Amino acid sequence: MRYRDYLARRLLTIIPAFIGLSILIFVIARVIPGDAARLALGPEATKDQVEQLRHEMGLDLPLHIQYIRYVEEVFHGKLGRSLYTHRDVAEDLAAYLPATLELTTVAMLLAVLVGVPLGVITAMRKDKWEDHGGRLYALSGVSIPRFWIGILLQLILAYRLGWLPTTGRFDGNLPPPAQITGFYLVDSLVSANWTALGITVRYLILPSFVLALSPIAQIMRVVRACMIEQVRKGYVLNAMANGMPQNLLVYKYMLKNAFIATLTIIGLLYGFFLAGAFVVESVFSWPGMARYGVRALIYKDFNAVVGVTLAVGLAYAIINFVIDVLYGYLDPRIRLGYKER
Amino acid sequence: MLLFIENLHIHFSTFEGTAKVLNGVSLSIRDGERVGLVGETGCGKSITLKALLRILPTPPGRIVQGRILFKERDLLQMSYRELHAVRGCDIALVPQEPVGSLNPVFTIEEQMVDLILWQGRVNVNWGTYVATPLMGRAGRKVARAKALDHLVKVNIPDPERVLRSYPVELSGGMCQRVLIAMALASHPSLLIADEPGTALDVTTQAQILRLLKERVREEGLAILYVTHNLGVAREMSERIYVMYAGEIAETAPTNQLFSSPKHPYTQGLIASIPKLTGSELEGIPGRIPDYVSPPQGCRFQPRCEWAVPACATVQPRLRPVAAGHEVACHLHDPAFFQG
Amino acid sequence: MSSCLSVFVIYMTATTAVEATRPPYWGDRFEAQWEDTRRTLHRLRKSILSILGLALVLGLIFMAVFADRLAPYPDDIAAVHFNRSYAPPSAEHPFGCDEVGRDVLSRVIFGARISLVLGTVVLAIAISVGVPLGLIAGYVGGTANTVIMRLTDIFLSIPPLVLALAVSAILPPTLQNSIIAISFGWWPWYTRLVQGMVLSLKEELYVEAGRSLGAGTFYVVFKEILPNLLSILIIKATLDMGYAILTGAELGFLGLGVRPPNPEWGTMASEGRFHLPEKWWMTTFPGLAIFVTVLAFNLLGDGLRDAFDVELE
Repeated sequence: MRYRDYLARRLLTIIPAFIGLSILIFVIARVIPGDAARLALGPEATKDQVEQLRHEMGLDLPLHIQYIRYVEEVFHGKLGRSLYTHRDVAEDLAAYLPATLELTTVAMLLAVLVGVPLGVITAMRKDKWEDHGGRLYALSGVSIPRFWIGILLQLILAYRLGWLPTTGRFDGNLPPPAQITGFYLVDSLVSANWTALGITVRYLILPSFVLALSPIAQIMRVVRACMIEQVRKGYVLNAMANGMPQNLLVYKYMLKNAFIATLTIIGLLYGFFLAGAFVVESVFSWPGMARYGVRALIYKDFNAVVGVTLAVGLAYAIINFVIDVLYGYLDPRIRLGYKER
Repeated sequence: MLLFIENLHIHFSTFEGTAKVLNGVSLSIRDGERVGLVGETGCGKSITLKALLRILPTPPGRIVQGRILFKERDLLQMSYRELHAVRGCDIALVPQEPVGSLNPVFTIEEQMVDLILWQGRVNVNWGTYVATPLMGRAGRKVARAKALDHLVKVNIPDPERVLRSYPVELSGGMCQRVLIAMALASHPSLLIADEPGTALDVTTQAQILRLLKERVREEGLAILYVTHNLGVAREMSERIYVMYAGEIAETAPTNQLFSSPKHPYTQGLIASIPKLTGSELEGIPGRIPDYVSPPQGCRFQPRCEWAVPACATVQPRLRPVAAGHEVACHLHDPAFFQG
Repeated sequence: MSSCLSVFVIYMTATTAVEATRPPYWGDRFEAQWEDTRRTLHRLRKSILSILGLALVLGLIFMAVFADRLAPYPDDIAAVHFNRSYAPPSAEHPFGCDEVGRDVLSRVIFGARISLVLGTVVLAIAISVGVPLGLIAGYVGGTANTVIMRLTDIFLSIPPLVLALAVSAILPPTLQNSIIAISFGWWPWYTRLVQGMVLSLKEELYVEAGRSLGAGTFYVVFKEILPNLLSILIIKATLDMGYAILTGAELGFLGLGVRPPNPEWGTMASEGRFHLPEKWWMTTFPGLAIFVTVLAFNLLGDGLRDAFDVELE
């Protein structure tokens, strides 16, 4: 009952923020550029043609009416025509979004699966060489420009050594796995296409690693700090004094506490992954939404810009809600309403 | 002899220098004996306790000298394997802080069952751990039944509900009972109680003390009751050690300690117990000394109203003054004045 | 040199002054004392790293200020020398030359100007917008708090880089516009930080005491709350300086930041990308410059955080 209240309260902060975001992006995209119609038609079009298109696009209406119309369209599954692909932006997003979600989700899992153990190790080996190494990695990991390390790794691992493919999401000479969800990993697993799975994984390694590089460092540091904080807790002393086996204490009892404290950061980091996708997809020619977004930005394709931005906002909101659910699930104090988050 | 701490010296490296925190503490507990360890905050009683359980962080702490014999084996020399076979299994701790001493994100059941199942091992084999609930459901079930049984023994009204609860859902008194049940779950021969219930209100604390006393008597186990409250120690123990600034000042059977305290510090402590008669409270002037450069000779001498010049040069040793009554004070050592 | 020294002295004084006002000990007295020793040692080691960071930051500032004297070919911001197009690194051109024969080293040196200006101005805007809003929200509370924090939530519901990308797309690609675009998504983080801290500081006794003694709102905010925030703001700003520069470089890399021929590091790396792997120097050195700059601010910020003994988020 209380858990439901807690989740409802979280939704009540997420949903208005998302609506606010849609208005903000809409205003940015419509007000400042002035003439989307001119951009669409190119410099040769006559003034009348531009006026005609402005009217068709509804750009001559007051802004709030434009927004209401846009929302109506959204409820019909339309996000406006892309000037570049000449398709509805919703169709484009449906085509490109799975690639981006696959990349960011794999990167996030990688960051958690690598960052958390590293955090535990550096905490347990505090002030030993492992810990110093971890600190060094953390400081440089968050300072390295993603595009630069991406390019360097591409150059060395893919180009010079040929261990991994340089760009793209799948081998162009082979058919991609049967389209079921659009997530190649899931699709190839579901259709038991092991060759495709192998290829998908090979193509995923470099981009997801580059994307996860800095988050690994951040998760590692937070887990380390939380684990060290746990050592001072009364329950640890009590468990030690009453003979709880060491690995059970560290990897079950302390780690769950530390992980709960890390969850908030992981939620924030998903935003970092989504932003990083814009850079990483450009470097690795990953056929995802972020690369589509960058192209839309450069060609001033405003319907696409709004669509991509909202998709990013929505993905971020959903992940953060999932994190909230998980938070309540893992921490009884939240679930039972004894503690505010 | 169940537990024999012999001449324990513990130093701490600090920024100012080496703090000589324990300076030759000796203490013994017989099978089934109830012993109180009394002293002000900062006198080193919790350090003694941590050293005994080997949960003293080293460094900063360093055990310089001494032995801690438990059933004739030195705890300080034990390997982790041997230590884990003793700690929690044969010596158990009831901590001071009730709510904070339980893990906030696991149910009482989870914590008790894990303890009952895995106590005594240095590390759990993860394969076995994962397999337990899968194939040997019985193992966890038996452990759960045991846990339930132990909760009943500490007078918990609705043990089924408590097992399913998280610590936040329970009151402080209830958590303290759970902690006692956890400590007793392994049927130890020595229970160490670090002022349990101090954080609770007085009535609950009294209930906890009564419960503890009752359980200890029924199970016939020995208890080391550590407290700063002489009144509570009188309630809980047959024999009391009075500790001052890292040294044992006096030890005597409880009644004798109260009827004829010998050490000026003990006398001061007894005088500062609030009485219902409404007489004026007496305190001991001054405070616990600095451990980096403690006073020469007797550590209590700067606060002692009967101190003679010799007290500031020679450290007094524990010396019997009556049967089972020892005191570390020159005033009670005729030989010292003759020599 | 003397300015170098005075900054160092200020830094060390700040470090020691803060040590005197550390929070009370926790736990056992001896553990606390040991903790103190350990922290001092730790701080000393850390301070070597943070002094390195400080030295690098000062070096960067120096490089930016005297770029026209330090750069071997100061004209190469815009000049064209086709005779040395794609010249590999050599004694005359340690970092090589780009497609139109401009000296990469000179351009990297001039790039420090752009990056530092970008970082500084972004933070100045973010702080001067974010901090007052946070103070108002936290101190006044009520409707003001609700309105400001809901607004902040909107901006926080999207990663700052994505917002910066969207804004930069509608503005002509200049340095000012990059700065505007990045600041647009940067201030809410300060608002949230300050609001949270003001709320917790407000609870503390001394502010209560101050208010009951008849201190005005203005006095309480500026004399009691702001100084408490200062150390955390300084640390956050130092760390953020690196991240703002990184964001600016990423905008440049994506072709939405400062345009060529301006020597912006991200833009330079992006231009060089199409000549990889043969002309590796065109990408490697500008990227390295970004890395070192961001690392310098991180080292300094990390050291300051330890010295001030505060936790950020």
